[in-house]
Amino acid sequence: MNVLRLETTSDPALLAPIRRAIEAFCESSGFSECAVCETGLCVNEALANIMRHAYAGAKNRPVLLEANFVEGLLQITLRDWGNGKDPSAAPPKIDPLTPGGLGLVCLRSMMDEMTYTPQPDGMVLTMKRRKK
Amino acid sequence: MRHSRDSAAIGMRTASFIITAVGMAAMGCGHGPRHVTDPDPSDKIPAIHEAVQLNDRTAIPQLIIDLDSDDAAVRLHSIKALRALTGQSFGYNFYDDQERRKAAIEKWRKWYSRQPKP
Amino acid sequence: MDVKTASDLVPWARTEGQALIVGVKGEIDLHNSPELRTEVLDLIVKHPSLRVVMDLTLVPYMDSSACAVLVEALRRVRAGGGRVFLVGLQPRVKSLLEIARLGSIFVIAADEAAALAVK
Repeated sequence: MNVLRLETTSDPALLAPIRRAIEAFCESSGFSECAVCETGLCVNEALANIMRHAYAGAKNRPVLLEANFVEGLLQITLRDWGNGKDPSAAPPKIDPLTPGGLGLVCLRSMMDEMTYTPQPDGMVLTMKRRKK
Repeated sequence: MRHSRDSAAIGMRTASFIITAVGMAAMGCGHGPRHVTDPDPSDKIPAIHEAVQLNDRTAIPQLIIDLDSDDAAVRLHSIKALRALTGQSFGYNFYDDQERRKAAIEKWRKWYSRQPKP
Repeated sequence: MDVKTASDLVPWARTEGQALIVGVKGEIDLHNSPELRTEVLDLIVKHPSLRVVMDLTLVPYMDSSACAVLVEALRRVRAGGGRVFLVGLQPRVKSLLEIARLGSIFVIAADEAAALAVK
C-alpha cells in the first residue's frame, strides 16, 4: 500500500507542485500515462474549486490531501475547512460557452467515483479510480 | 517543500509532505505592526510568517497556545512555524480533532517548560 | 508584423493580413491564467481581427481556468464577426477541450498554415 499525505494551503501557486506530486504518486502506483494525466487534472480542478469557492480566494487556508493506493484502487481525499458549500449540488453544466462548472465535468468523467461529504466545519471530497 | 517519513506499518509506504508557498506576504500595505497574539487570523497569520522569517522564538508560547485554535488555518500555520523554529512536531496534526490534539499539545507544553528562558 | 507582448506566457504574437497569431507558452492553471487572460484580451482589443490563431504548441498542460480564457477570447472575437483557431494541441490539452465540449466550437487545425488556409 502506498500512501501520500500533503498538508498545504489554498494558494494557487501550489497547484502545479501538488499536481506533480499526485502524478508521481500515480505513476509509482503503475497507472498508465493517460490515467496519470487525468488524475493530475482532477486533483487540480478539485483544489481550484476549494480555492475559489470554499475559501473565496483566500490564500492561506488549510487543505489536506491524502492519497492511497491499495489493491488496484486509488483513493484521493481532499479536506477543506471552508464554507461547506457542496459543489456537486450546483446544476450540471449545459452550455460549454457559459463560465463555470468545467472542473466538476472533469471529475465526473475522469474519476470512477466522486463524493462530497459535508463536515461540521468544511467539506471532504473523495475521488476513486481503479487501475485498469 | 519539506518531506518527513512517518513510521510505516508493514507493507505500507507513506510519504508526508508539507507544501507551502515561500515568502508568503508578511509585509502588508497600510497595516500597523502585527503580532502573533492578534486575535484576527488575517493579522495573526502574516505575523506568524514574519516570526519564522526572523527566527523569533519569543513567538513560541503563543504558537503553542494556537495549536488548540478553533481555526484550522491558525493551527496549520502555528505548527508549521513551530516546526520551522524548533525542528519538533511531537506528532501534532493540525487536522486532528480536539481530543486527538490534546496529547501532542501537552508534549509541546512540557517541552517548552524545559527550555531555558531568556 | 510582429506585435509586442507583455507576458512570458505569450512570448510572441504577430499580425498577418486580417489574422492575429498568438503564441502561448507554459503550463496554465488558476495561478497564471489571469495573467494569460489579461494579455490575450489586450492583444485582441489592440489588434481586431477576423481570424485569431492561438498557437498552443508550447502548452503541455492547462486546466479549466485556461479553457475559460480561450472561451472568453472566442466570445470577444465572435462579437466582431471573427473566428478563433487553435493549433498545436498537445494530447492533454486536446483531451480537456473534448471533455469540455469545446472541440467543435473552436476551429482546430494542425498548424498555423492550416489555420490560415481555412476559408
